[in-house]
Amino acid sequence: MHPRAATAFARPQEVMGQRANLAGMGLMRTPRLSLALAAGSLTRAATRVSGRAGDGVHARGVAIMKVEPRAIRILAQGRSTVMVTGTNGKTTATHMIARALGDEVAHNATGANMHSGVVAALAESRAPWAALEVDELHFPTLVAQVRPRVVVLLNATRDQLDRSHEVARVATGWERALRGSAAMIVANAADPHVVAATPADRAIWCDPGARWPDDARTCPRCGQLIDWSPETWACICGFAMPEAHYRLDGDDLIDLQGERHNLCLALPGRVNRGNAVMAVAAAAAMCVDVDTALARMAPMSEASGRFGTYDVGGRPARLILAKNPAGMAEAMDIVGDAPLIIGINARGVDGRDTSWLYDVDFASLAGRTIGVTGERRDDLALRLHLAGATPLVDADPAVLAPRMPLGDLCLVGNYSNFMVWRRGVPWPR
Amino acid sequence: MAPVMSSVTIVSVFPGLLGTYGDAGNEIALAHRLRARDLPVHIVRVAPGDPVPTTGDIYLLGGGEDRAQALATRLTGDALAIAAYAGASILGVCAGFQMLGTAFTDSDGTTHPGLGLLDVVTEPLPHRAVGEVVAECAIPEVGTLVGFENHRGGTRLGAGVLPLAHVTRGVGNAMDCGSDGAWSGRIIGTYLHGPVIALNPDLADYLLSLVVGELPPLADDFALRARALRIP
Repeated sequence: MHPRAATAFARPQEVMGQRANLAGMGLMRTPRLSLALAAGSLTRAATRVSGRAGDGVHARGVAIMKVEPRAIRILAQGRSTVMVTGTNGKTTATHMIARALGDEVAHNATGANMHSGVVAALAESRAPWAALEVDELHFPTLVAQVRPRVVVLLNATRDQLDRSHEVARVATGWERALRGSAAMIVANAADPHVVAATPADRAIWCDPGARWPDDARTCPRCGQLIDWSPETWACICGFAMPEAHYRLDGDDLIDLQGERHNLCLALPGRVNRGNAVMAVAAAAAMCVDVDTALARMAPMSEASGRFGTYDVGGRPARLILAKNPAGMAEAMDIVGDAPLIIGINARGVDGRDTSWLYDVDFASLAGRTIGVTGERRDDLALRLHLAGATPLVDADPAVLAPRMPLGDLCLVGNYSNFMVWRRGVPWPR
Repeated sequence: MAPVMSSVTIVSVFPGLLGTYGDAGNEIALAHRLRARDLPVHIVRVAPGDPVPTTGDIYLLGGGEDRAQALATRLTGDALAIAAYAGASILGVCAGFQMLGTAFTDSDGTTHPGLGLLDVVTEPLPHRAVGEVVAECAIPEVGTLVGFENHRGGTRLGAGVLPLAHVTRGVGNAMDCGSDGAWSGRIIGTYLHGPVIALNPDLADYLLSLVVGELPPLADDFALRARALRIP
């Protein structure tokens, strides 16, 4: 066994000397917190009755924190929490972890990953375990409040550059936050920004298979050029890819004892096999053995709409969220030569700049007819035209779907498109 | 002048370092407009650590983070000055524009010497300039430029350059009244991503015409529709 992993193999109630049982958590519910939770429930009910957009999660969280600003800290106390952050894969990896941990898990399953979503998930459930995905810019303050037992750092790539920070600054924020935390860190060894942010003495290194050198050409430590080979990376200053404790090898996971486990996931693509490696490592750090974790994760076929099959214009279509270059590259890997519709918006949550479409290699689409939709379909059509594809443009994907070639249709979109699509009608199984 | 039928060599300078904001699309769009006219094109993408060739026709430099910009400047050395002396055209966008100047100061306050090809100096702004830009280009027959800016540097133009464009929406250079970019002979700098060459086919054709002479017109309906999103 990896020597450091042993320190993580503690029962929930022993973690950091805290007593964690349901009665103990009940005692911590001060009158103020009870009032806050009541205010939250009322607000959620009001939001639902008024028929406003959303499921009331955000409104509930905001109401709770207005009455009790320390609600996250109080509600997280005594629980064993896995906190997941990164640019891509947060929702899917957190769903995998929540399943792997069993039935008693507080989980922000809809992907509401800022303070309001976290407090709402913790208020919803008194489960002794929690699996929380957290927005990468909110991670530093949330890690201080939640005090997770295990942190998962998936990756750090460019995303919505007009509103978020450059990658190096995001990772520096993580590094500072983790210095003040006692958590074990399940970290992507293939991502130099993640490795730079991770205290090595608390690291459980994973190699999820994928390599994305485009956002890590220079060393986060010294600024010199990183030497990337297909397998590994290193800088002449000595900063280099650590040896992985858990790694993906084709369709198999190799664990820290060197044992091989077939992944057999219902979810498609290399990216999800990589997410599974990180999720298994996180579950193992929470005392769930690898085979149990895998058996619980394997049947999962979607995560809050991601990879789910929906009725689009009378055809089954698999929904894929892709909101930045690294995510779109993985989406193209999953799509392969299947018929494809892509939708691009540029609202605040998407990033207002569509330039990133040119940082994706769309060469695999050359010579093919591709459905193009979304509010910025004209930007996408220009991009795909320049890639040698034939764009078929319409505001409504349901109009495009019947005109697409035969085969298993994929509908790929960035955030605000995807959020609309996933509220559609699931294709009957 | 009849088009030269030898291939046009486009050099993307360290796209791995200067490729944060979609500026790889400038190379894609230039190559597309050459191929659409049956003109042969040769693409060179210079990997960081490899020498920058000095015999290219058009050099492209894109945007990047502070560290990447400083490193790319050091790695470029004299190559672009030699190429420019031999008559090459150069387009620098954002960090690539700042690099072409005589000096640039990063957000940590460190001043780096630039490549010295444009008489401009860049310093940090108090706030980041982010958003769509519309600007009237000073180059005859190029017309309205559209693009997206995202920068923390403001650029002051010296006597040796002209502003590339007059900004009607957005910030641009920020240091003087309403200009974006700089222009001196065959060397052009701008803050516009988008990518600027994909969204502005007339600027693309201007750059290409510096190499191959007058070009037959080439309609691009897809570019027209993407421009229409941005031009009021």
